[in-house]
Amino acid sequence: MLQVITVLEIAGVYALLALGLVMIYRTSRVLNLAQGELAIICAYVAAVTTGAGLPWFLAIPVTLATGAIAGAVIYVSTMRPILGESPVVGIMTTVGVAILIRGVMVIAFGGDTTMLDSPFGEAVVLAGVEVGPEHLVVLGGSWGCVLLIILFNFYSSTGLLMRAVSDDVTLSAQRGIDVDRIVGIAWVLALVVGAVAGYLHGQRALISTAATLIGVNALIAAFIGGMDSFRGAIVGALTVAVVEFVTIQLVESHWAEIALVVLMLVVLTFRPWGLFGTVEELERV
Amino acid sequence: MNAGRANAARRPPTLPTRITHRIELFRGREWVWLGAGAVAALAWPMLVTQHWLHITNLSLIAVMGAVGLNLLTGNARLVSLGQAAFLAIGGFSAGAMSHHFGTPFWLNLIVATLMGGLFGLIVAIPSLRLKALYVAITTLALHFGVTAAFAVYLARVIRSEGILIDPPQFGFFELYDAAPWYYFLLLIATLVVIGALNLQRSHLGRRWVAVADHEVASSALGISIHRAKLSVFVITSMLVSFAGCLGAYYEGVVTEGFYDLHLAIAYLAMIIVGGLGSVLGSILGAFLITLMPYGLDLLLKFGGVKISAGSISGLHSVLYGVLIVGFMLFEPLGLAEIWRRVRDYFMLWPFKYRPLDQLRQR
Amino acid sequence: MKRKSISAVAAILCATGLATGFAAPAAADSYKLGYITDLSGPFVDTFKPVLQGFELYMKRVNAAGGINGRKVEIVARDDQLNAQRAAAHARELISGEGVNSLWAMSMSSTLPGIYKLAKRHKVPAISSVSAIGMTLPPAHDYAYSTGNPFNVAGEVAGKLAEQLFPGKGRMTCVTIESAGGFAACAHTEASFKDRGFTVEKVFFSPRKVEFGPLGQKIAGTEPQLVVTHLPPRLTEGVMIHTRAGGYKGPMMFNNVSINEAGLIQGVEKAGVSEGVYTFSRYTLAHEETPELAEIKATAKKFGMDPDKIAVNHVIGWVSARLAEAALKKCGWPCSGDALNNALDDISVDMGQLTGGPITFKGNDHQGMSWWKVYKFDGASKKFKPVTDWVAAPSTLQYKIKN
Repeated sequence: MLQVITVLEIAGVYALLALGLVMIYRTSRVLNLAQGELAIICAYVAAVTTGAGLPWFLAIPVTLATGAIAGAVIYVSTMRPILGESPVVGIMTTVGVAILIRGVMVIAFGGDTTMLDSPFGEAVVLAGVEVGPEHLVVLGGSWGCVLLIILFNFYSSTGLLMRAVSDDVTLSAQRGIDVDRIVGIAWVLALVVGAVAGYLHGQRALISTAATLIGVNALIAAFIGGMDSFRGAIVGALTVAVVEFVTIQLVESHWAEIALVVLMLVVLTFRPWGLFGTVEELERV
Repeated sequence: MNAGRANAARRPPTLPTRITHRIELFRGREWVWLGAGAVAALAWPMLVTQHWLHITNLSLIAVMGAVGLNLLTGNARLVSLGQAAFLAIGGFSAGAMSHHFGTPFWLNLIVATLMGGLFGLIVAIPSLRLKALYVAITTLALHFGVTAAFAVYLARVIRSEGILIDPPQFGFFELYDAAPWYYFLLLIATLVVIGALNLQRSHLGRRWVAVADHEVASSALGISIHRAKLSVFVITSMLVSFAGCLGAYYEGVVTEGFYDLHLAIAYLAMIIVGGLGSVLGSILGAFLITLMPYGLDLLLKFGGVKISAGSISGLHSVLYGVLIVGFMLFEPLGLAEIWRRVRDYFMLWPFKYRPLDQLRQR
Repeated sequence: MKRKSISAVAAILCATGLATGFAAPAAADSYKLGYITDLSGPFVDTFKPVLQGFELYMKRVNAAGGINGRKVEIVARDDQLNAQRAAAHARELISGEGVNSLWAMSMSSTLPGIYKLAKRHKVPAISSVSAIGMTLPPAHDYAYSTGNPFNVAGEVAGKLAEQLFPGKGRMTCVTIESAGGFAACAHTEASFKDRGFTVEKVFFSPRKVEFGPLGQKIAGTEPQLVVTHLPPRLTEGVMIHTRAGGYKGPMMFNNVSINEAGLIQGVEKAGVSEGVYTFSRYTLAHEETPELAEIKATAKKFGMDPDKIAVNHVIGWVSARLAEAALKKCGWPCSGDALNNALDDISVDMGQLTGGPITFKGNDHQGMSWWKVYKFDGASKKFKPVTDWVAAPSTLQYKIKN
């Protein structure tokens, strides 16, 4: 039981990050390599604000706002100018953003390692196992957010527009959809979700510059599932979490990294578009 | 009239494909420049302190790695985040060879280069079916896989935190001090640069660019896409591992921690800042990015600004980031293009554009 | 292209030549000590206070007129916990800044390269937090340590546990997958087996830590005692998640410069304040000794919060005291080689900062070390000593083949 909870917790954080990646990729065809860095810098903000004595119900909005502002700033300043250029440009730019944020993290927070305190007090007994409050926060928070994203995407009007843009940018623009605004919203949302993931990660593990590696695992999850599929991101996150958990339990944790990489390379060799991704159409001259 | 025809006859082919053609283009002024450059380069160790010679050596090693990465990312347009992994493969091959078998430097250098080629082939295979976007992620995966494997190797097999490598021996001469290293690296870096310039002009280099521009169109022209992608991965990985091996010998120690993602990004910064697809750009970028931390330290010292050593490395990261993003957005062709514009401005003054026939030659 | 590139290289070389003018080293009128440590990497909050402790002591020395009438200058470099970067800094400090010794260093992974360079350039290197086999007899020339050798710590853990948990039982040794980690748990295993314990070992990667599965794995070995040899933060993470995995028994942490505040934060987050032990080579700042009072007074004098003083500062202070004694012995001018001769046979009394003097003699560059166990007291939220100093010789008791 405890094992299942742990796997679901890990998977929840990865799923949130992977969903953010998918949202960005679907609308702007940019692979955001700075997702992990952005999540962790938001976690740092949460740690600093709670450390300054702000209660959790104020600290969380501040954290989310940080994510939203970061998303808006990054979109307007770096992504909008290169919209529609080759993916190479997008990747390079997000790499630049990632290293920039890492530097800011070191300067602003001294690169310290910190933890977050749980907003709620008491442990709860769940199916015969005592579960700490932070686990409940992580479980509820992550999967609740995943559900919200899915609902938003399929049942809201903005979600509908986003799906239209991801299907065909040119057609949607011709139909009078404000593509610029939609892509911007996607970036902001993705980074708010990333901030949630960062906060939840801080609940269950350490916040440090090394923790930005969660972004890499989320990337692997998104690629296994398919870069343009929400369902794929969730399945990918679960797969990554299970593989990671099992290798740590049975072998040692170095092997978890190697196992994930091999798994991804195998999937990409046989299904380059991922498990649930759309098969990209043939290029024509 | 007659003189004009004679000139036309002496003029080499419009697209110089061999280095000899290039040399034929040299006139008096070029030879003077070349000679001055060579003299300055040879006299360099006499002019600077040990510290700056050391930094120059690091830059020369970076030039080789950056030239390799630029062929892959700049010319073939395959974004590689696996630069650190290939450098590590070079370093660890050399370390493992000298640790287990005590083999000499030259043999280790060859083995390291071949190992780089082998891993280049491995990572090229899944990328045959993939687009540029996915190549970034497979090379990123390679990075994590390879560094984790080396961490296990160090802990389990070597049972130490790093492998110590003895300096290269040539007979009784030991390559340790900065000045001999400088001449050695200068020679090799020059060969690498000439080789890369030639490679860009060769049929292979032109195919890489063609495939990068349009896969379907180039396959319609009879270019084998598979062969082009495999060859670019293998050749550039060999070059990068070669540089990694030299770097490991220069540092005298190989550890897993050195080859982090930060290193891979620093190399990307070099080629972006220098200029994608340009050998000159690789050289400029490698020097600039290697010098940057030291330059920044000097600047801070000069300005009397006192910040903690920790914040300085944060500042380095921020600068890398700003440089990458800035060049990506405002000058994607990098320093090489800026250099060309500045030079043109002074050479053509008071005119703005080159005469037409010179344009064709460039 | 060719011509362009060559003239470009020439231009850059010239520019660098100009820059070199600025970098000319100033005339040496003070002792220059090189200091390499992690100031922005993953363990910055461990290593920065050690530097502060070192600096505090030297500030006091300088304010009192310096050593042999010369001021002491500390040239610090940040290695971000990275061995090759550390080696590059060491080279630069020796050849560029002209330092006569290298101090501190971060985790053990950075040490082999630095010791090798130190020997090559005839400049002593003295690590203050970590230690590896190269300083144990027969020690390498120019390699010294006042730090925490994992294998010695492993052996002493058995001795300490014998006093506190006399019954035999099952114990689990937790450490990272690295050469130092393997040695630590191998020696822990030998010394506990000698005392009738059965031993399990759990290793994990320091690169990317998923604590949840790890904690469950540790709890799953059903131990009666958990001993860890881990850097700070990983220690707290393992404590929290082993508790969450269901293990509530005693845990004993090797204190590798883990500051007390961090450990207490971990205890609070773990929610179990009973059974938290840490064994340390140096006095924790929760004790009251004249030397600690001295450190706190100095901190106050130089504008630092004396309440923030932790065991890390003690470690820095100890190596600064050693540096002072060695420089005094060495005189002026003091080359690296001369300082090495001074260090090669030295004994510096550390008062109550540890159990006895720091002694280097002949081929022993580690010397006898003293260890003490502290237990967390939930009521006062302080670590209180529960044993006396236990001596551990630098010659290893158990022979373990590598």
